[in-house]
Formats: sequence, C-alpha cells, structure tokens
Amino acid sequence: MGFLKNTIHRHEDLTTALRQQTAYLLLSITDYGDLTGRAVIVLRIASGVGISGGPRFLIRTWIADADMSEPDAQTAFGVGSEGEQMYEHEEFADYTVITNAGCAVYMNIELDASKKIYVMAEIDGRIYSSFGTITGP
Amino acid sequence: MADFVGNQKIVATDLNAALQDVIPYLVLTGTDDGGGGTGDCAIQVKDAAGNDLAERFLIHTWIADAEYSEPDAQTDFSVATGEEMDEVEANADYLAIADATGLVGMDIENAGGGTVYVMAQIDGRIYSSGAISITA
Repeated sequence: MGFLKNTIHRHEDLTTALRQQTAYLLLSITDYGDLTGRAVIVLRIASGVGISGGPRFLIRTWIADADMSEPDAQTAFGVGSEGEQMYEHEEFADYTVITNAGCAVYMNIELDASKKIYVMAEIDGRIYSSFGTITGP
Repeated sequence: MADFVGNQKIVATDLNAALQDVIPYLVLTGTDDGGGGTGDCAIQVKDAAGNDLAERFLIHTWIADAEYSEPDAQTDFSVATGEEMDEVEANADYLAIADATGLVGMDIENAGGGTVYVMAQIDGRIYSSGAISITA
C-alpha cells in the first residue's frame, strides 16, 4: 500500500494506517424555531480529522419520520449553502449529493408542524443517522 | 533482524483483525418453500472474520433469470426483513435498508416455478445467491 513504508510493520501500525483510510459521517441537526432547520453532514476519516483539498464525496441522504426508515417527504428538504445536488430521488425527501471541498453538505429542512425528524446519510454502504426536533413559533 | 521476532511479525490473523469491520461482504442464502411458487433470500452483511456485522447498511439487490444478469421482474420480489428504501423496478430491483443485525430478507414468488438468481451489491462488489429453484 502506498501509504505504508516498505518496511516491517507492527499490527498496531497496520491497523492505524488502514483505519485512517476509512471514512465515516457525522450528522447534526439544528432547529431554527420557525419550522425550519438544517442538517449538517460531514465526512471524517477514522482518526477523527476532516479531509480538505482532496476528493469530493458522493453521499446519499434522506429525511424520515422514523430512524433508519424509508424517506418521508417534508415541506422542504434540499441542499443548502454547502454541497451540491447530484440526483433528486424523491422531492423533499431523498437525494444524492456532492460534498464541498471540506467534505460537508448542508441540507435545509422545512416542516409543516413541530415534530421530531431523522436524517440519514450513507457512504460505503454504511448508514448513519441523527435526529432533531424542529419547532415552530 | 529483530523485526521478525515476536509481536512485530505481521501474520494473516493480524491483517484480518485490522480489516475485519472495515471491509464488509455479503452472504446470500436462497430458499425454496417447496411449493406454491414461493421462496426467499436472506442477505447478511458479514465482517472479514465471517461474523454477522450488526450495522445498518444500504444494499442494492435484484432478481434475475440468469446469474449476474440485469433484473427480471418476478411475480413478487419484495423486502420482508429490513426496509425498502427505493423501488428501482417493481418486483425486480430495490435498495433496501438492513435491519440492526445487518440482514435484509427478500420474499420471492415465481408463480410458474423456475430458477432465479438474487444478486446484491455493496461497496461496488456484486454477490450472488446462486441458483434458487422455485417449485410451482
């Protein structure tokens, strides 16, 4: 592997090197109190640091009324100020998105009533989720 | 060289342990119900050590009349365990969310009986159930 020196390695070295190549997603949801909010999806590598200046990632993300459930369309759900929409699988519910240069995507959320919602995102087959309660005035 | 002595030597088990949860693979098990034109296929995510990988995965799965072929719609092909995420083609081709144990179960119905194949994809790799002979 190109990221390992051509020398004898310990098990710990190999584990560290391999896991640093593993990406995972962090999701967080912010409520704005006016039936809108935002989900931030950030890609990290296993050491916990972000990736910048490198490749962009393609992430599938959807919103639902239950955790790990199929998409449920809301009043609005779409790419905000960071990232770019690649495909719309279901309007206001299910998208494939391209991350920004910092490996982040912002998804805007709008509901028709205060409730708890879940945002899921998938990369490399693994699904990550977060939940938040979006409230109204 | 001291590098070859004791704990500094990398053996296959060390490599497997390092990779174990990082690279999942799929095991597909097809079953015929013995009549009625029905059967099922279990799709289990495994880790490199062969253990069930109890995480949520998004799995693309389809059914066909030939192995590694494009989807062919059957009388029924539907998600029974896990949850349907997206129907790409009715009774043929789906994205499914695995349950908490890393399992997707698909119901199969081929009313006239016959041999079908279920394929599933993760990380770009396609896995096959092999021939499932459905009895009418």
